Amino acid sequence: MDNRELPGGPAAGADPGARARQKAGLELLTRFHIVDKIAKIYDPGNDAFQTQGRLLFETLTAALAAEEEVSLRLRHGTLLLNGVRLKFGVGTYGMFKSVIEEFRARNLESVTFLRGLTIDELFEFMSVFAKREKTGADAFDGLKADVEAAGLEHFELEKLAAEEIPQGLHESSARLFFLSIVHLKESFARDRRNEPIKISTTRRLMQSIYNHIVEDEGFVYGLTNIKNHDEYTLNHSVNVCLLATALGRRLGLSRAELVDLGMAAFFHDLGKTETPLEILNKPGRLTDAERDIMERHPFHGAEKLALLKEFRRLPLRAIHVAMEHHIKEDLSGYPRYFKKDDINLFSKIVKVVDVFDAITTKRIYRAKTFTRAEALNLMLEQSGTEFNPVILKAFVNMLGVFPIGTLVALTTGEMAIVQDVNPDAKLVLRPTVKLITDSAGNKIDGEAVDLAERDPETGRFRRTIAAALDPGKYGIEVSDYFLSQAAGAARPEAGA
Amino acid sequence: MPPGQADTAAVARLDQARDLLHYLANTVSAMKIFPNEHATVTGFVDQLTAKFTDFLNAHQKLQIGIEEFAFTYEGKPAYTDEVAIKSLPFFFFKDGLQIIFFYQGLDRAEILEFLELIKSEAQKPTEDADIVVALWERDFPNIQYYAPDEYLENRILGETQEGREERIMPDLPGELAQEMIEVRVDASKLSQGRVELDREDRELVETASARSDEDGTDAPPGPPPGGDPANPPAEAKGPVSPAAAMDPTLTESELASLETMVRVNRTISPQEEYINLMVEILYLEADPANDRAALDTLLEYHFDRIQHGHFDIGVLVLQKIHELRRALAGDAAKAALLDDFLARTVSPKTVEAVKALLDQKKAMDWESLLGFFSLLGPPALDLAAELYDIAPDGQARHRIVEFLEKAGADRPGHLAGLADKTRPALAREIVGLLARLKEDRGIPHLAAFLNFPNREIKSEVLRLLGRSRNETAGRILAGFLNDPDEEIRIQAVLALDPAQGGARVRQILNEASAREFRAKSYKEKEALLSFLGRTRSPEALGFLERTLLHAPVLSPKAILETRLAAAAGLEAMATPEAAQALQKGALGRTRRVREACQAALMRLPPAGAARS
Repeated sequence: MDNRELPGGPAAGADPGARARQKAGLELLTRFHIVDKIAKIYDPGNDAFQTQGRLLFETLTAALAAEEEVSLRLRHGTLLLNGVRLKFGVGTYGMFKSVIEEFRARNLESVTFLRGLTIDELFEFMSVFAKREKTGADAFDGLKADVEAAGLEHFELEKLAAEEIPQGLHESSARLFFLSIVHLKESFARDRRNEPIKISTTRRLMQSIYNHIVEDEGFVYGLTNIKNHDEYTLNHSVNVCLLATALGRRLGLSRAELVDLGMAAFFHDLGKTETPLEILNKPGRLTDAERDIMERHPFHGAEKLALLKEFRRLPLRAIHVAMEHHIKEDLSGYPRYFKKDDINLFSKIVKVVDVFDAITTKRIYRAKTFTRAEALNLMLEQSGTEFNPVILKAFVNMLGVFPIGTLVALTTGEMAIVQDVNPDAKLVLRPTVKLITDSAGNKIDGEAVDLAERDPETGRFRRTIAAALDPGKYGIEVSDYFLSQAAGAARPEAGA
Repeated sequence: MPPGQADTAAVARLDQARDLLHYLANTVSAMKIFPNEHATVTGFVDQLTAKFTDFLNAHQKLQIGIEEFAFTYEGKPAYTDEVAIKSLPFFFFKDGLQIIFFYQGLDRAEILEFLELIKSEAQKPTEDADIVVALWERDFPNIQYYAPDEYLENRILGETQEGREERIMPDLPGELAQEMIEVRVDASKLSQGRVELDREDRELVETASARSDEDGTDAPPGPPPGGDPANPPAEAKGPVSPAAAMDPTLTESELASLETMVRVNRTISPQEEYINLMVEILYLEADPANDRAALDTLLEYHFDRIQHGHFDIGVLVLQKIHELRRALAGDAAKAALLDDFLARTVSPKTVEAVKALLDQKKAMDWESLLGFFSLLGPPALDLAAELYDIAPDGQARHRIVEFLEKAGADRPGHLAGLADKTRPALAREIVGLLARLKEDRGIPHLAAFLNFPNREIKSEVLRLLGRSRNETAGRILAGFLNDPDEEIRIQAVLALDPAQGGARVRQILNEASAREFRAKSYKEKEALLSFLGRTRSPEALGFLERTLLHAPVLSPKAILETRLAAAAGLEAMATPEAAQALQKGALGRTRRVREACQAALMRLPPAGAARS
C-alpha cells in the first residue's frame, strides 16, 4: 500500500477535482469494505446487509451515471478506482489493508461494476465474494465460476498478474534484515576510519525496506523480534529503522520523507561508537561520570553526522534524530538545548520505536526485559510526558495491542505467537496468531489462525488470548518462528 | 484466436513496441541537447505520447524487460544500444532495474515527468544517481517497475568486501559474504519438546477461560436494536491492560493534530533547522578541536549557501552565531572561536560569489544580501563598497549606500578610505555620507579628499564643507587653497566662513602679500580679497586699502588686477571705513581703479545701512 500525503493535503487541495475524486473513491471503497464484512456473517436478507448494501448500490449507481463502468483495481500494492489512485490516511489504513488482502487472497486484480447493475445482482455478488473460500492458486477461478454460475452479468473480474504476486517474500525480508545489519556495520567501520559512508546505498536500502513493509508488513514487524545478533547497537538500529519507517508510513509521510526518516533512524545511534564499551555494557548502575559520558552519545552522533564529508547527501533530519531521540516530549531528557524549544517530528517517531525496541531487548544492565505487550503498557503510562501521545497511539495501532511477536496463551490452552494485527479496530484483541504448542503444551509447527474466526455452529470465537507470556521464561526464541518461515530455514544454525 | 492470427498479432505488437521504444530513446537524447521548451523536444514528447496512448489503449499495459544493452518485449529484443555512455537500457540496467511497466492512463504530463527524471538522474554524479530510487520516490501512478533485491545485496556485499580490502584484511569469500545474510535456524527444533506454563500463567489462562465462558462475550452478536452488527460491540472483558483498554483508533482531533505535525514538519526550513542544530552542537561541545571542526563545517555550509545566492541563510548563520556568542561570553575559549568564525565570514569569497552570480545573470536578492552585510557589520564595509559598481540598478546602489551609512556611522575614517579614484560614483556617495554623519563626525575625514584627483568630487566636498560652520571644516577648506586646480581654489575661498576670521585672514593676507599672488588670475584674486573683505577685520581693511591705493608709476596688469580685486574686497566689506577707502580710490589716478571704486560705491547701501 502506498500513500504520498494525507488525504486532503496540499496537493489534493490545489486541485478541487482531484480532491472530489479522492473523496468519492474513498466513500465507495468504504462502502464496499463494510458490505464485505457484513456479507461474511449475514445473508443478503439480513437488515444490516440490506441497509449497507443499499448504500453501496446508491454510491455505485451515482458513479455509473457518469461512467460506463466502475473499476476497483489492485496494482503494485495500491488501490485504484477508475485509474485514480486512492490514498489512505492513518484512519483508513486498516480498511485499505483489509481490502487489499481480500483481493490478494482471491488472486484478484480488479473487479469492475458495469452500468445496468441491479441491486439484487450487487447483493448476490457481495455474498459470493465474501463467502468465497480463499484457496490460493485457484481462488480466482473459483470466484469467477461462482459469479458466472450466479448469472451475474454486470461484473468483470481480472486475475492478478504474475508480477503482482510476490514470491519468496519472507525469505527476501529476512535477507534484507541481515543485509541492513551488514551495511550498517560497514558504515560504522568506515566512519571510524574517516572513510566516506555509502549514503546512496543506504538510500537504496531504505527504498527496499519500504517495499517490504508494504508487501510483507506483519513479517517485517516479526523480524524486529530478532535480538540475538552479535552486536546490539547494529541490530537495534535496524529494528528502529524498520519500525520507524513503518510508523512514518502510517502517519502519512511521503516516500521522500520516509527515506529521510529511515536513514535518520538507521544512523540514530552512530554516537555510541564514541561511547566506551565498558560503559555501554556495564552490568551495574552507572556512576555520574559514566552517565554523563553515556548521555553525550546523542550529541556525539549528531556531531559526527554533521561533520561527515557526505553530510550534504544525508537528510538533515538525521542529525536531528541523532541529537534528539533521548529528549522527551516535555523537553526533559538529554541533551539539554541552549535555545531550541521543540523536537523534530522524526525525532518523536524514532523516540517511540527506539524505547520500544530497547526495553524489549535483554540487556545486561537491565534487571527486567519487558515483553512487547508490557512495553506498550509501560510506554502508554508515559504518554504525553516522554512520548507524543498521538504518535504513540498510532504505534500501538500499528503493532497491535498484542504486538506482532508477542507470545500468548490462548483460552484453549494452546500457545501462539502473534503474527498479524487485525485491521478492524474493534477486534484489536483478535490478531492472527501462529500456534506453537497444542493444548497439552507439546510444541508444534502449527498453522496461522485468525482469532476473529468463529465456530459456525455456535457462533462463538474459537480462540481468545488469555494472557501475554514472557518468552524468556520458557526459553522460546520468538524470532526463530519468523525466520523459519523464510526459505532455507532447514539449514541448521552454525555455531549455535 | 487461431495460432496464425495470434502470431500476427504478436508481431504487430512487437513492431509497435519497438517503434515506441526507439522513439523513447530518441526523445531522451533530444532532451539532453535541447531545453524542454524547445520545439524539437515538445514535438518528440507529443509524438511519444501519441504512441504510448495508441499502444496502451489497445493493450492496456506495456511491459518492457531490461537487459544490459537492450529492451525486450514479450521476451524478444525490441531495442538495442550497446554504447554504454548513452544507452538507455544500460542506464536502467546498471541500477538493477529489470522490468518497467507502463499502464493505460499514462498521459503527456506523466510521460514528460518521467523523461525529466531520466534527464536529471543522468546529470547527477555517478555516486548520487539511482534511477530506481528516483522512480520510487516520484511514485508515478501509471509507471511501475521491478528491481529485485539481488542488486542491492550484491552492492552492499561488494562494498563490504571493498571495505575489507581497503583495510588490508583477508578477502571475504563470496560464500561467507552470502552467509552473513542467509537465514539460519533449525526449524525442526521448533516442533520438538514441550512447554509447561508456570503457576502464575496457568492461573491467568484459567481465569480468562472461565470469564470467557461466563459472560458470553463470545456469543454471536445478534443485530442489536439500532446497532450495527458489522461492528460488533467492543470486547469489554478479556485480558486487561492499558493498551487493551485503550481504543487505538485515532480521534478526529488526534488526526488533526497529526496532520498539523506533518504539515509543520514540511514547512520548516531544513536549512534553519540545520543551523539551529549546529548551534546546539557548538553549545554542547566541550572539546575545542571538535568545536573548530564544527565551525569549519558551518563556515563551509555558509559559503556554499552564499555562492548559491541564499543570503538569507547567510543572515541566519550570522544571527545564530551572534546569539550564541552572547550566551557564551563567559567562556573565553569558545568566545574566541566564535569571534574567529565571524571574522572568517568576511571574506573576498563573498564578493566573488556575488560577482559570479551577477555574471551568470542570476536574480539577486539584494535585500537578503544587504541584510547579510548588516550582520557582518563594519568588516563588510569594504565588501559592500566593492559591490557598488556591480550593482544592477540605482535601487541596489541606493541600498548599498544606506548600508554603508549605517554600518560606517562610527567609522568615518574607514568610510573615507573607501573612496577610491577608480570608483568616482561611490566616492561621491561617500562624500555625502561623511557630510551627513551626526555631530559632524564625518567632516574631519573629508580632508582625505585634499589630494583626490577628481574635480567634481572635490567640488562636492567643498560645497559640503562650506555648509558646515565647523572650525575643522574651515581648516580643511583652507587646505584646498593650495590645490593645483584654480577652480578648486576659488571654490574653497568662496566656501570659507568669513566669521571664522583669525587664522584664515592671516593665511590669506600672507598669501596676498606674496609675490606669487600677482601671478594669480583676476578671478582668484577677487575671490581671495573678497573673502578678506567679508571678514571685516581691521587687518583686512588696512590691507585692502593699502592695496587699492598703491599706485606705482609702472602698473603692470597684475598689479592693476590686484587693485581691482581690492576694490571688490572693500565692496564686500561694505562698512563705512571701506566706503571711505573706496572714495579715496575713486579719486585716484588710474582710470580703471577709479571706475571700479565709483561703481562699488554706487552699489554699496546708503551709509548707516551696512550690508549684512
